[in-house]
Parts: sequence; structure tokens; C-alpha cells
Amino acid sequence: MKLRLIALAGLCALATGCATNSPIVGGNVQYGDAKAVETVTNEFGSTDLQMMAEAMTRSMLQSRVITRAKERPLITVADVKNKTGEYIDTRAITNSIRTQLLKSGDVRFVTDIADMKAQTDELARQNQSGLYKKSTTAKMGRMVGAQYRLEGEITSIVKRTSDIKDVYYKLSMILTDIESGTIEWAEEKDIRKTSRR
Amino acid sequence: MLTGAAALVLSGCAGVLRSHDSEMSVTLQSAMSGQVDKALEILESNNKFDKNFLYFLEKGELLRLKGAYAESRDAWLSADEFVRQWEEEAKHSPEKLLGNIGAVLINDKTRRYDGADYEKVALAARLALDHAVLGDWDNARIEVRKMHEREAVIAEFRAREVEKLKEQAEAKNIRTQVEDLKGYPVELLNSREVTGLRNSYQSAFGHYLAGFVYEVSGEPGLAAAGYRQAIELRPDVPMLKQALAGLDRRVRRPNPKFTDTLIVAESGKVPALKSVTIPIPVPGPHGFQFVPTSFPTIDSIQSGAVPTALRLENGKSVDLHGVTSFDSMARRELRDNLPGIIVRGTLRAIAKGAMQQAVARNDNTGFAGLLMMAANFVTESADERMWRSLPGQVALGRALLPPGKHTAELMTSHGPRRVEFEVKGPYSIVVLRTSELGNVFVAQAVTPEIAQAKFVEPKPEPARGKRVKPAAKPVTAAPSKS
Amino acid sequence: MKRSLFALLLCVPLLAGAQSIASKIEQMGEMRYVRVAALKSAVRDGLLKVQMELYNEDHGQQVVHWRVRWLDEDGFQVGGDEPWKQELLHGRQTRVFQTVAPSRRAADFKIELQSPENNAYSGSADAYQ
Repeated sequence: MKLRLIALAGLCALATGCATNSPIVGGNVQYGDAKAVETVTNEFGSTDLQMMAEAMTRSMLQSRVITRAKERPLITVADVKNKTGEYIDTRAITNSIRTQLLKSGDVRFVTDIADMKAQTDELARQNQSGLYKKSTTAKMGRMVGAQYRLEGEITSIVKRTSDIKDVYYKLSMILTDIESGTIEWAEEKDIRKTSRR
Repeated sequence: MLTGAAALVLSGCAGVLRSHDSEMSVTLQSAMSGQVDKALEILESNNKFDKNFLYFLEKGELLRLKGAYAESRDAWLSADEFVRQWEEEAKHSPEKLLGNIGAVLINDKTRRYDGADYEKVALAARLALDHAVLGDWDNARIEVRKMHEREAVIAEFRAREVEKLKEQAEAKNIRTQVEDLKGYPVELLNSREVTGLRNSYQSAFGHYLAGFVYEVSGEPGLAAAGYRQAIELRPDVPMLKQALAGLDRRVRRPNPKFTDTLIVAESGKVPALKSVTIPIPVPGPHGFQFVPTSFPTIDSIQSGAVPTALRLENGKSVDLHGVTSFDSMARRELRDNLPGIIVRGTLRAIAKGAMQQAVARNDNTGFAGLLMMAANFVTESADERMWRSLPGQVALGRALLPPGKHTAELMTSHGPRRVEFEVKGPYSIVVLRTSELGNVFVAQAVTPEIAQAKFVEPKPEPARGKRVKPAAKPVTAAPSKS
Repeated sequence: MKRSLFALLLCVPLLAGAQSIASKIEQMGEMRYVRVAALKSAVRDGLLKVQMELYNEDHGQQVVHWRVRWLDEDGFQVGGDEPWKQELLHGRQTRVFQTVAPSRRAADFKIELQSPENNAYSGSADAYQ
């Protein structure tokens, strides 16, 4: 009886491949290092996005706008214009920058153009639907305007021969004082990638 | 015994002898004369047992002509499964697909039909249109994204294929220039429209549509890339440039009084692939011996002219610009594939020549040899499978129209056709397809197919640099999706 | 008074000598050709700033991967993992890399450094050229 059980267990192990005790189910998929240098192709990739966002954030944290501010400056994110011919999700770049800046604790952001619809919808819903307790509704006309606007553009130069492809990306960003219209900070980050067939 | 071998050759190809061309000619005839239900019946009866990639492609298109967008979407999503499978193989085990190149089977038709490159890409664009027409812009966005990612997969795979083919042709000492194929109607593939294309699969229409869908979802960064690609593919069409120029303004400050409308006018049909038999010289015991071998060529009839304008009820008209020709893309596809086809055809001819010689040696009557020759002729017919219901030409127009119902006249090459459509919200797409009955002169039987984009949520109008006054905004209804 | 405080701040994580460089660098295997020639850090405007000088002893090009792990006063990591940065060093080149902490909470750092040509692999280094 005992022997049979062991045999059964052995069979089970063989059949399901559960011989090891590591917490893995399934086949040949592996989780990788999300921050690893990606060089699969030389199109705009995850490493480029991460490096550009990091370079921009670190540079901005050192700018006078932030270091000399009496209180945390309020910033709104406008778009990073995509001037390349590649489908680059520039909002992914600005989102990364915004997240990292917020995590530094030195700046605050106001709702940007892209998210404004959700914001105004919610305000309208709270105030006009008549469903909410008056004392708890967010008041209309209390949204705060930003002092600075963050925007930029990404360009690329692509050169190729039959066996070499050289791509150069440049992200430039500026921070504009909305009231005065002066540019308070600017930074560029460039990346060159070359691939051979 | 010998007859047995010949019979084997014959029977081995019984399934192969199905002609997609003749099947679809009948189906399309019905569809284009307005009897889409009948066309669907014919399609079903032809594909009772084998629901393959092509079946789903054609079915999706016919259902779309019928106005059954949800069913059309589902059929195309089934077709998309095949393409995704191909993509997986192209990405992870390209050797498996490339191994196909040198495989000397009896006929190209016995290879699995993976779809032409332009068909794989067009499928994503048409799926996006179906989704948009059904009001599902989120999925439309997924499809256009799939479209340009698919293009990258194809580009990578084709580059590998070209290398591999070169190796094989050099190893077997086969010349792959079409000029060496005496009697092949190469002029059908050499027009300026065909050679001027960047490749066979990228279209200005597809990328403009991608740009438009990204613009609808409020992503100017991605929309700009779509419009820019469209401009690069067709630098001669000014209408494409206008889309990029006004992009930022449109996204920041949409015009609430008008609906930004994209008019997609499709016309004609893709040219059918035909089979042409060319004798290939094969070395034999008594010098060269000619083995009849079939090669695909393409219909010479160019599909009809594109509609030039859409005249609105108020007398104004929206100009339509031909931006993409699936006709030219189909020709380009064949042109780009010819070296591979020539390699396979030549190898096939060599194998058959050797077989004929073996038969002739063992047979004194000469009868078996004749039989083999006959078998050659029967089994030899080129691979003519293709997505036949795809339109030949796509023209685009864009205008700000007042929301609501419109009656307009589409200026086709056969005179004006009355169309009715409705636009709503900040953006809409109007898809028109003029069909022709078989060929140009029986076009009067057709009526333009109209599809209309469903309601799109009006966007708020955030002013840059100023405080937004939400109180001034009406309460907008919850999005229809949720 | 204010001035001397500032000077004091500057000196806090001052590094001198090879010993302290080694304590700040976490190499993934010993690098064959690339040396850390100098390492500096200082606090500017409340942010910890780091400068690393790398020297390539080889005649050929060398690639290094590096990133910084920022630590707060108690030794906890500040912010998430940084993306790995790939840098190219031409033969016999010295390059200077600067970076700054992602937050004012960062008080200390470690540099993760790796060159594909190092002795972390058991096989010959030629395999990675």
C-alpha cells in the first residue's frame, strides 16, 4: 500500500513536473530585469525611455526653480511633441518624469490637459448630480493653477546603409514660468544607437 | 506501377486543385451586384470543411459590405488569430518559416497560406475601422497599434528571408532575376506606382488612420507619428500634410460646432493572381529538356479610378485624394516574392524533369512518359490565393462637418452616387466603398456602401494657462463603453 | 556661520583613498580593463551628487554597465532601482560620469558596476568580445 502511494507520488511528479520545489508554474517564460539595458532592436525602447526620464528628472531637481523655491512649485505637464517618424508614446515619458519628480517630494503637479476631462467630469458629477452630501462635495472653482509648464519634444536622425542603421534620439524639455513666459529650465538628453546586420 | 505513381501525383493534388480565383470571382460577382447574402452563401458552401485564413478574410469583408459590423469584426478577429500565429513564428522561430522557401513540393499551393504582407497589415487597419464603426475606439486604438507593430515584424522577417534566399539561390546556382524567365509578363509589375512604393505592406491610408485614431484618443505624440509616416509614404499628397500641421491646435482646442470627419472612399478591387505556364530548361541526358512550370502573374486590368469628391447638400464639396492602392501593393508583393517563386519553380522543374527521364528509361511504349507530361500540366498551376474582396484603391478626405445627418453625392468615375451618412461628436469616420461589377463597364449596378462612425464623447476644452471653469460645461453622459 | 555650515555639508561624505572607493563600488566580478580612477561625492543644494571617473586600460573599446543605489541615513534604499546605463569607453579613454540623487533623503550610495569583460565568467573573456 505504502509502496503504491510512493509510486503514485512519483508518477505525479513526473507527470506534472513538480519535482522541484520552486514556486513556478508553466513553461519557458521568465521575468526579467525591468531596468536591464535592452538592445533587441534599435528602435526607441524601454531603456531609452527610462534613461531619458531619469536624466530629465535629476537635472530638474537641481534647477533653481526647485532648489530656491519657498514652497513646492506647482507644475503642469504639457505634451512632449513627437517629431520622429516612430510611434513613440511620449506620454509614457512624461508620466515617468512626473512620477519621479513627485517621488522626490520637491514639486507638485496639477491636472494636465490629458486628464482634465476626468477631473471636470468628477467635479461636475459631485456638484450637479444632486446625489452628494453638500458638506463633502469638492467645490467648484477651487482648482489651483500651475506656476510652471513642462513641455518638450523628441526628435530623431536615422541614417542607414545596407548593413548599418544608426539612430540618434534627442529629447529636449523646457520649464516655462506661465505668468512671465520666461523659460526657467531646459535640458537635453541624447542617445545614439547603432546596429549592424 | 508507373500509372500508380502518376495517379499518386494526381491524387496528391486533388485538394490543391481548388481554385480560389474562380470561387471568389463568382462570390464577388454576387456581392458587387448587391446580393451580399447570396455571396455569403456561396462562400460558406465553398468552405464547408476547411475554415481557413482566407475564408475568414473574405467573410469579414462580405459581412462588412452587408453592414453587419459586429459579425465582420468577429470573422476578422478569427483571421487575426492566423496572423498572430505567423507573427509568433516569424519572431521566435523564423527558420521554420524560412525552411519553406526551398521545400520542393508539387505546388506552391500546398504551402500553408500565411497571407500576403499587405493583407496582414490591411487586416489590422480594417479591423480598426470595424471597431470604430461599432463605437469601440479603445479597440480601434489597439488594432492600429497592432498594425504598426506588425509592420516591424514583417520588415525584420523579410530582411532575413532575402538573405536566406540569396544563399539558397547561390548554392543551387539558380538565377532569380525575373528577366531570365522568358515569356513572363514582367511589365505588369514594373509600373512607376509599383516600383515607387517603399515596400508592399506599408500604406499611407493605414498610417493616416492610425494617426486619426490616436488623435481621437487624445494622444498627439502618437498621432503625429502616424501622420508623418503617411506623409513619408505619399509626399505628393498635400492633404496628408495638413493633418500634421493642425494637430496640436485640434487636440488642444477642438472646434465644438463641427465634427472633424475622415472620409474613406474605397473603390475597385485588387487584381487577381493568375497562372502562367513557362517552359523551364532542365539539363537532361540529351541536352536541355523543357519542363512546363507554372508561375503566378497578376491581372492586367487596373482597377477603376478613385472617386474625386464628395459633394455635400450645401453645395460645398470635400476633395478626395487617392492615397493608397492595394492594386499596386498586390503587384509589389508579387514582384518582391518572385525571386523565391522562381527558385521554387526551377527546383520543381528540375525534379520533374528527372522524374520524366526515369519514367522514359523504364518504359518502351512511351505512354507513361506522355502520362507524366499530362500530369505535369494538370498539377501545375500557380498559387493564386489572395484576399480578393479587398478594395483596389483607397482615397481620403477630411472636413469639418456640422454634426447630424448628411446627404451627399459621391463623384465616382461612373457619375455621381447619392450617399447618406451621419456624423457626431468631435470626430467621425465615414467609410464609402464603390464597387464595380466584375470590370469597369458594368459599374452602374452598384451602390456605394456606407458606414458611419458612432457617437464620440465631446471633449472638454481646457484652456492653456488659464483656469478652467468647469461650471460652464454641461454634464456629459458617462462613456458608452462603461 | 552659514558659510562654515555649508563647507561642513560639503565634507560629509568626502572620500579619500582607494579603500573608500572600493567600499562604494559593487562590481559584478572583477573588471579586466576598466578601472575606477576616481570617485567623488558632495551635497549640493541638499542633493547628494556623485562623480565617477572610469579609465579604460585596453587599446580597444570597452563597455561598462553601471547604476547607483541610493540609501537614506538608515541604509534603506531611496527610490526604485535605476535603469542600467550602458557606456562606451574608447581605448585608453577616461570618462567622467555624474549623477545626482533622486531625492533629498538620499545620504549615501553604492555604485553597481559591471563590464562584460570581467572574471565573473568562468569561460575565456574572448567569448564576450
